[in-house]
Amino acid sequence: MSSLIIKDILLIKRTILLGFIYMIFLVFAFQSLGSDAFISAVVALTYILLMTTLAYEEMNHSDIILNSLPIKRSNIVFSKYILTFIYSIISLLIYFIVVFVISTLNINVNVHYMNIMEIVWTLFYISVFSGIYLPIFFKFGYVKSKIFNVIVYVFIFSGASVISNIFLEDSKYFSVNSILKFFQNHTEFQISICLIGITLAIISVSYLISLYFYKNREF
Amino acid sequence: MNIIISNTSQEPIYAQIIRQIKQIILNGELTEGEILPSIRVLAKELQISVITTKRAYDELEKEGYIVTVQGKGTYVSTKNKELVKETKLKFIEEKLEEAVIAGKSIDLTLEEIQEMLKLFYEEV
Amino acid sequence: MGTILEVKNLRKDFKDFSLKDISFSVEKGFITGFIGPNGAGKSTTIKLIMNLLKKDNGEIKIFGLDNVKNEVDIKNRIGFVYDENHFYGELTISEMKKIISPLYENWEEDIYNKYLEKFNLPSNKKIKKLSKGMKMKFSLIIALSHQAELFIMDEPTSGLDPIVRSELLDILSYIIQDENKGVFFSTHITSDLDRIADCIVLLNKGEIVLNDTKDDILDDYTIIKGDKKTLQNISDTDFISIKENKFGFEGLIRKEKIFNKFSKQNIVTEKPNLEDIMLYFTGRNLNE
Repeated sequence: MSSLIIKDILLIKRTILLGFIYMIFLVFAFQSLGSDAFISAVVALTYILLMTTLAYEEMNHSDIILNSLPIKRSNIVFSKYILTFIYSIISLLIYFIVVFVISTLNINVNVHYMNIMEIVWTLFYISVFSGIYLPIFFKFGYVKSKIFNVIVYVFIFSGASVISNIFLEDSKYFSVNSILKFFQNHTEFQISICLIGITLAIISVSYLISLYFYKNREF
Repeated sequence: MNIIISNTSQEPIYAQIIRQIKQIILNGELTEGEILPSIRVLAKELQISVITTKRAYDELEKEGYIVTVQGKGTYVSTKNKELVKETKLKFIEEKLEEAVIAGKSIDLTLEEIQEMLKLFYEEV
Repeated sequence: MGTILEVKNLRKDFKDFSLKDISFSVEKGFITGFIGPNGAGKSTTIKLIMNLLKKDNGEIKIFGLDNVKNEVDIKNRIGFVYDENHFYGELTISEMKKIISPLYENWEEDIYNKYLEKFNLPSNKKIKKLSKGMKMKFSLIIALSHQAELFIMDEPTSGLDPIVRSELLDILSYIIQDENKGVFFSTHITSDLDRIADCIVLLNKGEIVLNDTKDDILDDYTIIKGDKKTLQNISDTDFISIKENKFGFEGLIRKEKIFNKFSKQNIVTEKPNLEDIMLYFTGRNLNE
C-alpha cells in the first residue's frame, strides 16, 4: 500500500511546490479574517492537493490498472484516507514555512503561528470535508462528484466565519449553548482529545461507507 | 530440415507438414534415430499453431515414420529402413517398367537393354 | 494439459446489451484467440474476468480458483495488456516500475532488466512520451517480470505498426513454449491470430458463435465464389452467409456440404482466413 501513496505523491510533486505559492496567496488573502483564516488556508491547500490527485487519477483511468494489479480494493480506499492525512501534514508544514519566512523577512502582514488547538481544529475540519467527500468520490468517481466539490469550495472560502455566525444564534440552537458551555468548562487539552476522538470517528465511518461503495463499483 | 508452408493452399497445413517430413525421411535427409524439433519449436519456427504440428506428428507416428519418447523427444523411427527400401524398390520398378516399354517401342531386344543397364551400373 | 481459465454460463446485462450465458476455456500451453466485431462483448468479457465488472450469473475460474474470492492471488499470476495502457503518463518507466514491482509476489528484477534491455526501452523517459508500441511492450515486460502464467490481452495490437505487431507475436510464440502458460488474446484484428492462434472463440452480439481449434475452423470451411445462375440453383441455407454483388456471389460453407452440389457449376473455391470467418459468421446476408 505504501506503493500507492508514494505513487500519488510522486504524481503531484509539482503541485506540492506550487502549494508554497498558494499558501503565500492564501496567507495574504486571509489576513483580515483573524486566526480562523489560517485554519481555512491549510484546509484549502489540503483540499487542493487531494483534488489534484483524484483528478489526475481519473484522467489516467487509473481505476482500471489499479484493479488489474493484485491490490485489494480496501487498500485502495484506505490509501486515500492516509493520503489525505499526509496532505494535511504537508499543508501544515508549508503553512509554517511560509509564515516563518514572512515573519523573518518582517513583511507587514498579519501572520499567526498556529497553536496545537488550532492544528487540531484544522484536522477536524479536514476530516469533516474528506469524510463527506471521499465516500461520494468512491461511489461516483471524480467527474460526477464535482458538484460536491463546488459546495465544499464555497464552504471553505466563506468558511469558518459563516459557521461561527450560525452557532451564535443561540435562540434556535439551544444545543449550541451546551456545546459552548462545554467549551468553556473544559481545558484546551480535553477539548482537543474530544475533537481528535470525533475526527477518528468521522473518518472510520467514512472509511466504512467508502469501502462499501468502492467494493461494489464497476468500471 | 526444410519445411515450407503455404497458407493459401487448399491442402490443410498439417497435411503439408506430413507430406514434407515423409519426403525428408524417405530422401534420407533425416536419418534413423535422428531427433526432430519438438512440436512447440516447430510451431514457433513455422509460425503456426502447436495443435497443427502435434496433429502432424501424431499422424506420422501412427504411420510409423517417427517415434516419440516421453521426456526425451521425437525421433525418426528405425522401422524406416524397410519403408525407405520399399519406396525405393517401387520407384525402381516403375522406372524399369518405363524403360522396358520405351525400349520395346523401338524394337530393342532384352540383351540390348541389359547391355545398357550393365554400362550404367559400371559407370555410375 | 489443464485448463487455466474457465468461463461457464457467464451472464451480464446492460441496458441495451447482454452477454448471454457464454462458456469457453483457455487451456495451458495454448493461445486462445477471442474474436468478434466491435461491440460484440469482448471487452466486457475481459472486464468480468478481471472483476472490473460484476457478473449477473455464471462462474469464472482461473487456475481453478474463483475469480472473485481469490482475486488478489489470481492477479498475482496474471499479466495483462490492454488497448489503452493506463500507466501514469507523468511518471517515467522506472518510477512506474518502482510502484508496481512491490505489489507482485513473484517479481524478478533480473528478468525485468533483461527484457528492458532486450526491448530497448528508455527507463528514464516519461510514459506519455512513449510510442504506443513501447507502451505495449512495457505492459508485456511487467507481465513477464512477475512470471505471469496467464496473459490476458485486450486489443494489444490496435494502433501498432506491422513491425511491432510482428514482434509481439514473436514474443507470444516464445512465451507459449512454456506449456504451463496460457494466452487469451482478444482482438478484432484477426490477421494477428491467423498464424499463431491455437483455438478460436468467436463472439457476436453477446453470444458465442464458434468455439474450436483454429485449424479445424479454417479447414472445415471454404469460400465459394460463383455466378448468379449458380446461386439460383442451390439452396442458400447451406451457406453460413452470402455476399451478392452485380456479377455474382461469395459465400462461406462447410466443405462437406459442397460435394456433388457444385461439381458441374462454374465456381472458385478459396481457403478462408479468420477475418472471412468472422465476417461471414457475423453478417447474415451481407447485402440485405
